[in-house]
Amino acid sequence: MKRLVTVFTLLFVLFLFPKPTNAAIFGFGGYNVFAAPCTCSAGTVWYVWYTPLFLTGVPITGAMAVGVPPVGLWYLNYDPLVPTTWSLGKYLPGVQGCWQYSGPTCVTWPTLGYVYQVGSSLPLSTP
Amino acid sequence: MKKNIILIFFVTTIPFFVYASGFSFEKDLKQGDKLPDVLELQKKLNLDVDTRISPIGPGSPGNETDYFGTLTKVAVVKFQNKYKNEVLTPANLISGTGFIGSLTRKKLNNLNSVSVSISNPTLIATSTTKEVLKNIFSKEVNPSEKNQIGTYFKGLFDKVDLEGSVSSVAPYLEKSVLNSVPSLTSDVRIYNIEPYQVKPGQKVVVLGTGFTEKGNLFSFGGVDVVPVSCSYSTYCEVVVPSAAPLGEQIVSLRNSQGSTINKNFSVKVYITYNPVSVTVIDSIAPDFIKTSSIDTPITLKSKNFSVSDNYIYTPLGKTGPYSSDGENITFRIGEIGNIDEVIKNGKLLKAASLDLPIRVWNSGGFSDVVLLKLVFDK
Repeated sequence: MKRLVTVFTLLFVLFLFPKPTNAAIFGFGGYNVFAAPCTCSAGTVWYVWYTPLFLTGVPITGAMAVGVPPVGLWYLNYDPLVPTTWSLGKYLPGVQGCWQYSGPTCVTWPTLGYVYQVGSSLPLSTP
Repeated sequence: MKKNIILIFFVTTIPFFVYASGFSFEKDLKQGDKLPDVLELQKKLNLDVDTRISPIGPGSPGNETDYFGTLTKVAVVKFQNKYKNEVLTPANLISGTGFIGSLTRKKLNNLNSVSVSISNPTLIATSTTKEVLKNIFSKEVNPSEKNQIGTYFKGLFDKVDLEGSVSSVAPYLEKSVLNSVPSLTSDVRIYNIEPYQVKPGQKVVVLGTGFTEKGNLFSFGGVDVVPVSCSYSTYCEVVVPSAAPLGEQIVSLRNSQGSTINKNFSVKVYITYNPVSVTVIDSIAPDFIKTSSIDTPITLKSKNFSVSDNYIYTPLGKTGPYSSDGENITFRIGEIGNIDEVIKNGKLLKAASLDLPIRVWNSGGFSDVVLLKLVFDK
């Protein structure tokens, strides 16, 4: 019986935590509560708050710099900048990609990483 | 059975180890101390190669101790010098002292607060993708941390060139991804000059993108100057030309990849013989607020707020101006634009909380960041 419980627990834990499918891929999922443009950043980048935010199986809260449009629309549903939608994607941890223009200079806001691929829970809509 | 328990322990704890960055330094520390805080301090310093206690032996990564000895003091001095604008300058110090006081503790704790997935201080603020990737993928990562992450991402570290350069990591990321990362783009931009108020002849740090290793030509109010050094395509050190005109001046850059001129924004510095130093926020109280009481007064403390014209900036927008007695600014979170939308959206999903980053803008430029926890309640 103990062995059965142990094996069952092990299987549960193994399937609970997401595993990377590619060595250098960091995945995330989260609920978008607010998005603001990073007006200085090269390209089009937005500062997006996620709460909860899942980088592994443990929910946290935090912001990401989201590159728009992301590299390759791998996901069916897009519009990751619409608040109150769920997002799923890939990010580079630690990269500070959001700079906002504020008066005579640009200011950076701390983010957990730079999102380069993302999809959302929204039905496919006009880009 | 025993083996199974051990296996379960490792599998269940790996993600939590990855997040283990929450230690808060509350005590002043000095040479001779023997405290648990010193152990955490050594671990923190060892996460950055620039502040490593020792490459081998006691104090080295994985061999941290609770004793604050000479090696720790040297590492603390390096840490303080590295973050001198936030740790030393506000205290009118030129070089690190090795004493862990309030400003150093604040910096150590701030590094904690924004490093989540991999608790490495070099991953934040001005770090570039190259540095980030180097720290993630190279042996420079603290061995114990590397082991934790490496276990989770099995085999990752064995595959990556230990030089840790972007090119060595590139085979593991799509090329299009690398081209899309803002800090790797060749688009020439200046984001910020630190500090904002500068003297003619003073060395400043310029942050941006598209900097080349050589051949960058900066201009301060129309007066050209060659930088002292540039690295990582995002960072240059430049001496403000003595002939630069006084007052607020546009800083531009030209190099073989292009120019910042005619971009949709211009970054400026204020050139003066009596520069005002950057504001460092010592504390925020309360440091958390419930969404049901957004009219609660929040006080920021510093030693050098402006008497007037202090503005509160967040990613949601700015509010102000606020006057100050030089040390305190009081504001209410309800005064920040868009906060109602954030609260409404968060409540939809019964979100727990989020951290609102706050900076103060005044005559000295932008302050450092403090975090205000916004707790969603009924």
